[in-house]
Amino acid sequence: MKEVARAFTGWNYVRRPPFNFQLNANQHDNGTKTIYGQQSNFSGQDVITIISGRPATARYLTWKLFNFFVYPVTNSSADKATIDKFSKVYINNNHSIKELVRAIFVSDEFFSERAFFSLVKQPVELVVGAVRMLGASYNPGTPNNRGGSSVPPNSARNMGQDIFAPPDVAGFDSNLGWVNTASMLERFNYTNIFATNRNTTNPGVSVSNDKLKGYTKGNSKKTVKKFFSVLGPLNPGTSTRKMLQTYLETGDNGQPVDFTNDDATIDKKIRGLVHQIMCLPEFQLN
Amino acid sequence: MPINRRQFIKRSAGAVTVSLVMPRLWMGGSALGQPPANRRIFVVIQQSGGNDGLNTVIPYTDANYFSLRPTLGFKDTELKDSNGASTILGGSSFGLNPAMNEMKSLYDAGKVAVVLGVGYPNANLSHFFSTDIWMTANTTGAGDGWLGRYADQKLLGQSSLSAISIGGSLPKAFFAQQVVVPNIAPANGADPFINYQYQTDGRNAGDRNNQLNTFKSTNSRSFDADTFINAVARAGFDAEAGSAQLRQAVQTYTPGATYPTNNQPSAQAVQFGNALKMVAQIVTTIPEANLLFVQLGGFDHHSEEIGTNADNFTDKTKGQHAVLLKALSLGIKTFYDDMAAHGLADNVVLMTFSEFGRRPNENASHGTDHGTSSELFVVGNPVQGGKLYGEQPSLTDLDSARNLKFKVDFREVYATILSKWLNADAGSILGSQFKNSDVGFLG
Repeated sequence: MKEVARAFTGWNYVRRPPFNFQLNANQHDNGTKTIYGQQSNFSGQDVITIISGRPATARYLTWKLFNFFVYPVTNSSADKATIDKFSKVYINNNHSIKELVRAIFVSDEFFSERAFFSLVKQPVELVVGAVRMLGASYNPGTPNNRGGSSVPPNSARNMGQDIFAPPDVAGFDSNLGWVNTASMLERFNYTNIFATNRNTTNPGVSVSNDKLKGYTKGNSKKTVKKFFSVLGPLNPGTSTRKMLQTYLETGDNGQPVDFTNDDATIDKKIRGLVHQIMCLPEFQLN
Repeated sequence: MPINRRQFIKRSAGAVTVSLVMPRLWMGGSALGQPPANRRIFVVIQQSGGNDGLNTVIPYTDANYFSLRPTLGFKDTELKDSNGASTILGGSSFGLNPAMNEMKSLYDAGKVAVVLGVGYPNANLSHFFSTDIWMTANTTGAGDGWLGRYADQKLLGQSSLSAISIGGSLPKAFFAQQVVVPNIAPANGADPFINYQYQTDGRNAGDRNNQLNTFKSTNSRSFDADTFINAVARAGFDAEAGSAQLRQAVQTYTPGATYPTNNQPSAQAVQFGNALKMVAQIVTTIPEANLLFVQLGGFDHHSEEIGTNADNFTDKTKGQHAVLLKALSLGIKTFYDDMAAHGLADNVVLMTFSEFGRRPNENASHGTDHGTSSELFVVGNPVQGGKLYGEQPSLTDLDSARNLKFKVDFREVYATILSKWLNADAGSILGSQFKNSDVGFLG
């Protein structure tokens, strides 16, 4: 590590736009460094070449990308073979991460059953994804009037992800690192704020009755199915769908009522439905 | 008695085995009568902004203090509280700021230890960096919090309400690998806990029960053990149930002391008192809740540290610093009295800290700039109080930025509390060099 750091001495950037890279040659350590047993006056460029030439680097990068985009990789021989297969894409394409990612995104593994709902959504995916999936509004306000526009980043922070400020150089944690009672309560309460904010003019996240009306069908079954589709697609099963249908067909007194798609029902029950779907365990996963 | 997750799972699916280590949901309803004799509560108060230690515990006999602080310095004749009683600490060469008469009474009663000269090597003068250093007990400021490391060792698998933070966001001190500490943001109004619940549409309160029932049904479904979705559903269900039970429990609290209200003596005193009252509500009603963290902000007094406009910023008994020290002093005393009224005075140790002290020489704006070493207070019946610990740094032997050279590493203070109060292994939490550190205030 120290030898590699010596090779990177002198690296800097111009501290004004467009922040170009610059090498301060007189600050570079021109001595001999020992890196993986090789000795030379290595530069930072040399280090990158040496590291990316190692097969372990290709496997590590592939492993990171799989864990982030596809599913958690296990120690099984099948998974090791999968990682080996994709790491060769990186090596055979002149160390192109672009080609590696392309190969992953069009792979059978990426579209496999195993990849569905196999990762826990990061907080930023939850707070932004909720808005985008529903086609809801986000009004960023102005620098002098940010209002509720800071709710999504603040909520993400309370869920454990201070955006652009990871806890250390290892970056953010993943999956179960996001799951605890405090962060789950924040997830539920963020989605409530979002689903129940009718004010589409002030800064912040909101959803209008008109937008919700567009997804609402003539009966409760079709309506729940439509929202499963919009907010996912999710497929939590028939019994869960029926729980949500029961919600739509229950009045304030706890007694059954017929579902109607009038404005008053949309403003109450469809907003509630959106919140309830966003509180499903399935919605917390990707 | 609210329905709990286990009942739901029994009804829906039979036994579910889970190998993930998740916190135990606090079930409430456990015997609240006498606390166990060995109950050990630890409360941390963060004074954020960098408290001016030299004007909190005042070295009034040191001539250098007055030459460095011709405007801000308190003379011995000025170390008198609003009733004219001296705030000089028992014949010592130090006096408390006159705003802190409540702390003075606790000190005289032997309940307050003052640890002088606390800091760390190569002091960092950035609020954020130095706060991280204190929070992590690591001079790089990186990694988990010191109380988080303690929690991972001692609280794993215990009640999810074993440790609680009251404030705007979870302090880094509680960052941990495995244990997760909830943060409760105080709400204005009659019920400060009101934000800490599963919230539903405020416009349709009549629909709340329907939403809660739906949520409990969908999140108590059974899933395969050892899957993410199972962990998510369990944590989600427990989040709602735990918050509901906490809110229910704290309703049974009866104050044993009168906390500040109605902006008297200041808005800050009311706000800080309310946070400590929340701590009292929690520890008196939830026997498992033993590790608490609260914050009092605003100590960054670069200008107008003393006085008000009316006195042209010269009256040392008034001003921003006096207001905050009064809030601190009154809050701690009220909390102490409340704990005593609930029979818990022997079970609580409280510690204050700030990310740094302030520079010995005053600046031209009736303020002080970022400094290094400062004192801190450790309060409670278990504390060998009414005494000074550590050593006051010299006001003439300063560092290159003309700041104090610390005498006690703050990790020695942490180590004393970890090993003497929390029965933890200080070496594995703070590093082996602090394994046997003992400042002495816990006997």
